[in-house]
Amino acid sequence: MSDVTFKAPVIIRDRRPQRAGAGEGAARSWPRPWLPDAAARVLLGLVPPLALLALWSYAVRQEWLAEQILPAPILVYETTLDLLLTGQLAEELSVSLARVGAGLAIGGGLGLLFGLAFGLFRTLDLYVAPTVRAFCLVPSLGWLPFFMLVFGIGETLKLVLIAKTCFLPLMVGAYEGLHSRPRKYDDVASVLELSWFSRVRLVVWPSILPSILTGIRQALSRGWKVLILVEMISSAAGLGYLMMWGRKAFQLDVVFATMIVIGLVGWALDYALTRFQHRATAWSFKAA
Amino acid sequence: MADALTLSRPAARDAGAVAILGVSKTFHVENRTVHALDDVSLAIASGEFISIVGPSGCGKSTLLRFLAGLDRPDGGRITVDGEVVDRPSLKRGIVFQDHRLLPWLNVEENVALSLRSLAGAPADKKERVQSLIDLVGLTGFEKALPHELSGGMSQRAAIARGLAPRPPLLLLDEPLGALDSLTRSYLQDELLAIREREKSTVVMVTHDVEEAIYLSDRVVVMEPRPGRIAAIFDITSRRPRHRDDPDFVATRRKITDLLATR
Repeated sequence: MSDVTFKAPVIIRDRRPQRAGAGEGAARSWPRPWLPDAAARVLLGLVPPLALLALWSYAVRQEWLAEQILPAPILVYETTLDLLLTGQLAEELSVSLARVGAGLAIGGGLGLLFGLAFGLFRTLDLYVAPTVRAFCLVPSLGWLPFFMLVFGIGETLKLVLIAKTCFLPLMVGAYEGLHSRPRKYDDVASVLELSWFSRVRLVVWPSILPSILTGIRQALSRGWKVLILVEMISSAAGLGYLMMWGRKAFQLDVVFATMIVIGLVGWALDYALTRFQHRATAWSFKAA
Repeated sequence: MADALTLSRPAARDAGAVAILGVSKTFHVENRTVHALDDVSLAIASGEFISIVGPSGCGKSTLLRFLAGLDRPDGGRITVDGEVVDRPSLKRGIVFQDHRLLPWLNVEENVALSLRSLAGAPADKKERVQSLIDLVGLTGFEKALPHELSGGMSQRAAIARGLAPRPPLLLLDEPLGALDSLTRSYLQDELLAIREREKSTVVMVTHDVEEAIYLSDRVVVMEPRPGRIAAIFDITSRRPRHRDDPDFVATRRKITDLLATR
């Protein structure tokens, strides 16, 4: 056995390209020259909204609808600019964002805790989870009359309603994450004698993170929609209030401006979270 | 028990001796009893390279999981250096058939994971991780995530992870099964070199009779239903062995004939 010699790393490096094959190319090429690609995608993405704008302008010009119902794009643009310059838009937007943020933190946090508890303790899952799920399946607006009587129509109502909406997606996300996580890595953790803390931090948590992040995305987009609704019903501030005010004053330009802002902000929030998800859990989009 | 290991070379040269005594295991599948292992006994000397070959269902992977301490037999017992195996330990490194690198950790972090529970300075651990990455030929891929690697590269990273704590007993579950023949024969030589350096005992489960003869001191042939040892072949010829030596060819013939009748 003495005639077995240890191969020097230099030789290994020389031989590597023949053996590594396609995987090596994939590993090397990750900083892709994707700027022109991205520019093309942005341009393509702008086509539908621009087409819609053109149709809108045409409809106004042809007077398909009364001017009071369908305001001209230029008027909506001016109103938006006006709302921006006076600072009103920023004010209402920050009120709305603060509400959705607080609701997501409270409801999402609780949802995460409940989901983890149901995923970890089978008894809780069997006896408590069905009730919680049934409660969640009554739509947020279905709870509104009851909540209004209990919490009044103030700030608490909005928080409770958003929190209730954000609860389910995170509960489901955490629960599904725990249930579908790959068990084969538990063997690795056992063999490497990882401590309980290392096991949770390095093996279990990263494996359920993609599912939790998906839950947060869903919670945010649902919470955002419910927020606008509840602001329209009872509020003295926020984007929903602004829209309601526009309707009552029969200023459809304000309504349209608000709709556009709500849509854009909601989209931007979801986009930012998606990008974050792709960066934080890149492996889950590629690994088998 | 992790503290019993250090980053330095194992002091005891005679560590890693295995005694398998009357080990049995039955599974119950749809009201039928399957004897995965039936009264299997085997003594493995320290520093020996053992291969286990056999058709699927002969319980060879089950036996390896018992050796690792991941599962426990219904009857009989397994000791390593006199200690009963009742749970996994860093003293018994295992390389799985699928590489099982954590997909969210890069190569470096995956290898370093096996040194987490060991005593030692971070700088020493870092150096050990780097030397193992160099050893398996992954220099330059320290920061790559497993999905960016080819199957062969992933398996090499997994071997580095298995070797990192310098286990006196190294368990290999078809570690080279999924690799192309070039990578495979290269890693076979590498395994022998590592074994020579570390003086560790190696138990390898494989489908490949040629690989078993090429590497091992003894080849254990198992038969299924019930899982038993059919025969043990001593391979005494000097290494490096050549696959066209008359001895080699004769032994391969005997083993494949034996497997064909089971």
